[in-house]
Amino acid sequence: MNLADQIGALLGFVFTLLVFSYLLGDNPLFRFTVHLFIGVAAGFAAIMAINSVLLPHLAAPLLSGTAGERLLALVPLALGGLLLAKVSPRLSSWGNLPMAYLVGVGAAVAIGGAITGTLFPQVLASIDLFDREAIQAFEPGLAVSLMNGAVLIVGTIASLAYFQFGILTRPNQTYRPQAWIASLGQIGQVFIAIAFGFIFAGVLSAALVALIERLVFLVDFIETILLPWIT
Amino acid sequence: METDADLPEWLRDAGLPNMAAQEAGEIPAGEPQDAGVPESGVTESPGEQGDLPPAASPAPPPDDQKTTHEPDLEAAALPGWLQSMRTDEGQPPEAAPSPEEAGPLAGLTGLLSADQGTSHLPGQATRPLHLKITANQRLHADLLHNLVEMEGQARPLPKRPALASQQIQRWIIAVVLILAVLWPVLMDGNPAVLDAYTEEAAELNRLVSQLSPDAKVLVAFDYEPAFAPEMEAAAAPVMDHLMLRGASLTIVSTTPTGPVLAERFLNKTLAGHQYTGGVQYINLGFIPGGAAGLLSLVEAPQRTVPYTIDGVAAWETSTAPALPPLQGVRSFEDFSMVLVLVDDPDLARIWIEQASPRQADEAKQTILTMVSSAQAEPLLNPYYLSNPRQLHGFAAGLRGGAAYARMTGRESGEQDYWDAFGVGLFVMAIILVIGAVLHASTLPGQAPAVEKDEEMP
Repeated sequence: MNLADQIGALLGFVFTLLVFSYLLGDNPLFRFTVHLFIGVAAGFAAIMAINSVLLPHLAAPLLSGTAGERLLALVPLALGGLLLAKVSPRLSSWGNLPMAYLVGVGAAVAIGGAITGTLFPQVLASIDLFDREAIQAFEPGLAVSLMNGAVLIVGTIASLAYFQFGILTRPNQTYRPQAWIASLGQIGQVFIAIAFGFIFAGVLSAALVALIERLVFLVDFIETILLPWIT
Repeated sequence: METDADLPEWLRDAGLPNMAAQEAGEIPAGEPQDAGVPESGVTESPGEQGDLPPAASPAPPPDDQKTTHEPDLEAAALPGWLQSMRTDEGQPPEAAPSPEEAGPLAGLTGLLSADQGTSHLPGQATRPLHLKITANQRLHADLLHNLVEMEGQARPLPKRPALASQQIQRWIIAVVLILAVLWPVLMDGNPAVLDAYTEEAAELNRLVSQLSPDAKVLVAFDYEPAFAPEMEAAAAPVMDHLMLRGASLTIVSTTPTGPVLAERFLNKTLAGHQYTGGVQYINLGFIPGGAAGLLSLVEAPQRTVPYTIDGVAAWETSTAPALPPLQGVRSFEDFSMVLVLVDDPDLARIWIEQASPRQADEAKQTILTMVSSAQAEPLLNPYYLSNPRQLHGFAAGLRGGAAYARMTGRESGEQDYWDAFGVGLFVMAIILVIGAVLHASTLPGQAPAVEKDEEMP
């Protein structure tokens, strides 16, 4: 282990203990550590943006590109400049054009991807659960597959029913949800709770591995660096 | 000019002709009117004899009319807030004006001060107000008044217990969990067998095993540093397998910290393979733009990430050949496999949505695989189980990594965490059950106790 590694390990040891100090309650040492991490992450992100985005995609074409590349690079330069106008309350309307472009492109990509990548394939996959030929081609047991498909269909419909808030109103009538939708929604609630439980278990599992890694690091640091240094 | 004859009958009945006369200058403002209108100028709704203090008092009568007051009338006791609204009647006369000391008017005397102009608006507090309020409105007004007054009063902070029960719970849980995790780490016992098996990990193992030597693999490092322990533990056996098979790696990331995490992972965790940057692997760095950036990578990788993280041109040009890991690669479909290391379920979904439509053409199909955090597993399963598969194989969390390690004979790396993971999960489950039982025992008919510091005084 060279000197840089040792300094890195020492800093990691100290900052790990400072983060663990939150067990004693919110304190300045914990807040200092959190602010330091946020500052370092923000600074690193800025450097990456300059190094991986601005320099190769903007500076390089402008400085050393062909005439066409320079002309094309003027478009992001102008849009980026207009976006900076958002800083000023007086000139912020100038930034609406690049903002509209960003939001429009982002929405188009997200919606297009969701439709072609999730909605249609998943609907088709749900239909295939009841396709006898497809089941026999991939699954050994027809009855088990049909049962799985039935559970999946019921879970999907019941979960959707739980989020059914639309009502048909008539004058001089108080709203009461239809009984069958309410019952279906309660079944959906069970499916949603199971899904949330599954996700919660995953989050707990991820956090537990992080805790294990930090504790193993602390033990290793004490055994390999701290104790030899003291003795 | 309106006269009595011009007034409607209802107005004359209300006893207001004098007001018309006042407006005509016949009666000075502020002179007590007839009994129909209170002196304060405040009238209340019928049936509501509230004692709301007057919002404003009429202007003081001229000196020659003060003598006309009846002697048995007592002076009104005005509240403080109303007193402050009165004009400067009774105040001592101001001292002789002093010359202006600063500014462009320095040296001049008799100037109007800005304060006079703003604080004594003409007509303020001399115009009679006719408030018609209900009892409910008066209740709200009194409440608001009390609230405003309370804001200005210092109150002693309620005493908190030195140790809150929540803090004690936090310490107990932390101590129990830390001891449970440290016990297998410190004690040298027989290591537990990696008995994990998942079908997805087995499929991933099969796909990696079928890769040709020197296959071109695109690896995306899309996780945050906080998830590095779990992600590296899960991805280490898969990446180790890939590197043993001699795959050429092209690294990208849609998170700013991804490129440096990739360098750390390859040069620390997998340093034994001695992969050299620019030869066996290249790091193309950060892809900005989220979903749009990913779509751009899928559509035109050469335009999206033209350089390595070191600023070297990575792709083939008319003047220079491509770097070795990208030789023969001209489009996204030319990669034999795409392996995404991802912690965020939404990011995993975006990868599938942008990359999987490209796989519809089976002749040019790129295999999409993932190593994910355990929290992303529920979302990835439907894509893996769909037919045709949108996700061809994945390993989720430490369990997925352990399953892959066991299948490929790489248990040593996973074993460090596996024992502590098992004990920790068991203890966490017990803590959850105890917490649920304690919570359920307080539910029937017992409202949660309100802490003293939240009570209204």
